[in-house]
Amino acid sequence: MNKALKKDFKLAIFVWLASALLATLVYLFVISPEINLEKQIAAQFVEKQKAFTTILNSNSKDARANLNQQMLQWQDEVGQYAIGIDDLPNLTFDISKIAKDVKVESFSISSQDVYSNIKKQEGAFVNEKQLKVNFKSDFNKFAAFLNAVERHRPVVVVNEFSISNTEHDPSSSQVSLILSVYVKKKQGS
Amino acid sequence: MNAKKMLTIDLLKGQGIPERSNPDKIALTAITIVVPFFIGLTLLNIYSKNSVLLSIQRQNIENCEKGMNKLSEAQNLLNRSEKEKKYRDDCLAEVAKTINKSYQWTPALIEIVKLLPDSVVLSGVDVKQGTIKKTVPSKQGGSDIEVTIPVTKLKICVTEKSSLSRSQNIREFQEQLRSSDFFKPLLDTITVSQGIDNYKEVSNVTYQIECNFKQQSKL
Repeated sequence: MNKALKKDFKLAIFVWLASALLATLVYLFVISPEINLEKQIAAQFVEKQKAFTTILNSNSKDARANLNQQMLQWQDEVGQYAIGIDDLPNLTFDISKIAKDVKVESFSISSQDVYSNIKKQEGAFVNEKQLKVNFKSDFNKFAAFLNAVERHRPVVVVNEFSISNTEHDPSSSQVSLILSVYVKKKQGS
Repeated sequence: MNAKKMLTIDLLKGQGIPERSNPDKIALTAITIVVPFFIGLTLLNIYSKNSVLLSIQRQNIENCEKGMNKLSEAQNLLNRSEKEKKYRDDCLAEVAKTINKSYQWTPALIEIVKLLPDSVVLSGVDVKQGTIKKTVPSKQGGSDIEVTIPVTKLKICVTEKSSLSRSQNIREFQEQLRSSDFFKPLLDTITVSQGIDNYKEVSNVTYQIECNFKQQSKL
């Protein structure tokens, strides 16, 4: 290789290296962000398309009816465990009715924030409300009352109870219970 | 012999003489230019292809949004149902967190009555919930921390019909409670205390069986 060609070859290598460096920089700072953006936009499109298809599918009369039905079912499921604040008086009547059906005597029920020394639940969606129940009955009626209360929907939790035959009369044992119910907080409150 | 001499007449005086052709140099120059050219071309191709794809995707998204806007009523219904589902999930999760720590007492009463010997009369049952403070190692490490743990106590008050058995029936009842399939996994300790109940000049021996539930055990 003569001297002039050697010089040209050195120049060529320099040009290649410079262009490779430039290409790398262009790829890193121009093309790569563009490719990432394209990927993001593509993912966004897939999501939008999915949402659009869902909306399109739910636009029919049947689909709307199904959705409404589904929402009612979800509300019902929540209603099995938590009671609306407006329905709280009805729960008191429900428990009173159980007591009437079981035929206990001297029945009383009162609602208060704290009866038990167990820490009450204060959640984002439900609050715990406690009820105190007193009556006189025999053991069988008490068991029937307890069973009915534990089967009640919305759920009523028996936190504490006592039945004691202080007057030596098995038919009129003194009963007291502390019950808990879950009260739904208003949505958005 | 006289040798013939060539005379060189240079009228241009060394200027404008064409360079001698050098194929190696031409090839090297061509490669020097072609390689960066192709690199540039490739990059431009990638960039323009990506730009076209980007513009198509943006157009598609816009079309989707336009379509969704046209179906706003259905979209509102969907949004409402999603909100309702989330509320239901959150609400039930919150209730489950507390309800899992509570007990169903009806099966417990049935079991007590089933295990009660014939010679013993059930005079009372009492369930109380309380708390105990316990020092446990901190999860984050470091010094121990004091935590409050809920505890449940079940008191069963019984009276022996006859004092002849000398509390043998009570011991059996206590043992049955301890080994019962129902109570065994739930109970921690069982203690018995004894007392005398005088009523109408008759003295009866009464027993109080106190069952401490295991922490977090469930019926």
